Amino acid sequence: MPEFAGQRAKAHDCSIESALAALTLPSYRDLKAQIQTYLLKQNADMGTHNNVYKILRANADNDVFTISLGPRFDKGPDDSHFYLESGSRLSFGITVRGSNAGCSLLEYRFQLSLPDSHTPQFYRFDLNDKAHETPLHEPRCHLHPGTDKVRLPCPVFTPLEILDRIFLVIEPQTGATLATPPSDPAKPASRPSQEANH
Amino acid sequence: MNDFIEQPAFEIGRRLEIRGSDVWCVALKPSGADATTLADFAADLSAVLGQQVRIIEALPLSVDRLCKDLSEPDSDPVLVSAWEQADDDLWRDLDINRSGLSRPGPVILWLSATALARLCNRAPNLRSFVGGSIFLLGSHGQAMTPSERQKEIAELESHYEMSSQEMLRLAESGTLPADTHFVEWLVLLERGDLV
Repeated sequence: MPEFAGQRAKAHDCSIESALAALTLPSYRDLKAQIQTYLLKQNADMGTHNNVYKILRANADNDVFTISLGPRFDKGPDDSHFYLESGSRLSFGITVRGSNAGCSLLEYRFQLSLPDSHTPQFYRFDLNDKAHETPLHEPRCHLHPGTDKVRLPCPVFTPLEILDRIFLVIEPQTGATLATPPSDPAKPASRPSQEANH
Repeated sequence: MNDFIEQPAFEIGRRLEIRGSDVWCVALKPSGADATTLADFAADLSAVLGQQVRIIEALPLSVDRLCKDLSEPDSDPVLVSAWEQADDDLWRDLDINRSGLSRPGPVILWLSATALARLCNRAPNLRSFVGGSIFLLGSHGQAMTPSERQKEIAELESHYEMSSQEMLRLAESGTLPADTHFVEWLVLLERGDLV
């Protein structure tokens, strides 16, 4: 019944809390290394020229650590994005609480902006640091399917699992959609130049 | 040191992967390297190789103990550090006992330029294990600089039309809205204690 939608959404958010509590990530150092290596391998395999060492940033205070890449608010292509083969651009921020033994996820945001004229224009995976008062409209863990106002609940993923969805699920489809028919002139995706990796 | 190619851990790991088993290499410490550099290097190598790299300290181990540590287990990647105090006698002993050091898993010697010179001069057979695989570990600072932090803070203040002081007041009173950016903002302000 529609009148119970709020309760159902709240129950869903509670299940996210349990999933988060059960989720253990490696130490911050290992997590950072895994994310960096993932991006370096993708960069090498795709033949793109992202300077991963330059665009991947880390910050820490007390036992809270952040790993980020690209602009906080995507206002169009810039040289701090990670560019995929299709011309899509990736930015993210991850915050964890951790020790040498392991970390727990506090929040994340991963935005994949697709090339111009592609629909949807972007996907954004968000995990908020706490539950919203109206979880029906803003579930704690949600996906924006190309619009800021729509937040669809989704499971809690580890950072690497989100990268899997971006690189191995969305990107191949985006690339296939953009594949130019023989009669059409090739239209290279526009992006700023970046220094090559080491 | 300038004679060696500077390589990030990722490239060193990829070379180890390509060369397969029974591979030795030297990773030369970059200037200013400390325990954090070694731990970061081990984490990066572990991520590339897809298995945990074990760190062994060469000293104060004896040659026998080092042989034992390398052989139990003998297949995982091992990073052998702490060679600073190794004298000529130890290198000679290692060279004589080199067959005891042989193992199928990769061995990475974490050496200073001085220790590398000792390896070359006093342990020529061990040196042949390494061959041309001597790399100077490249350093790649990823920590945010103060100016980058300030830029990010200014961007957040502009986006939310709120000063950092106002945001901190909300955090202290437990009334910050649920939003992915606020936690990162607190860390940028070095107020991770409020998260």
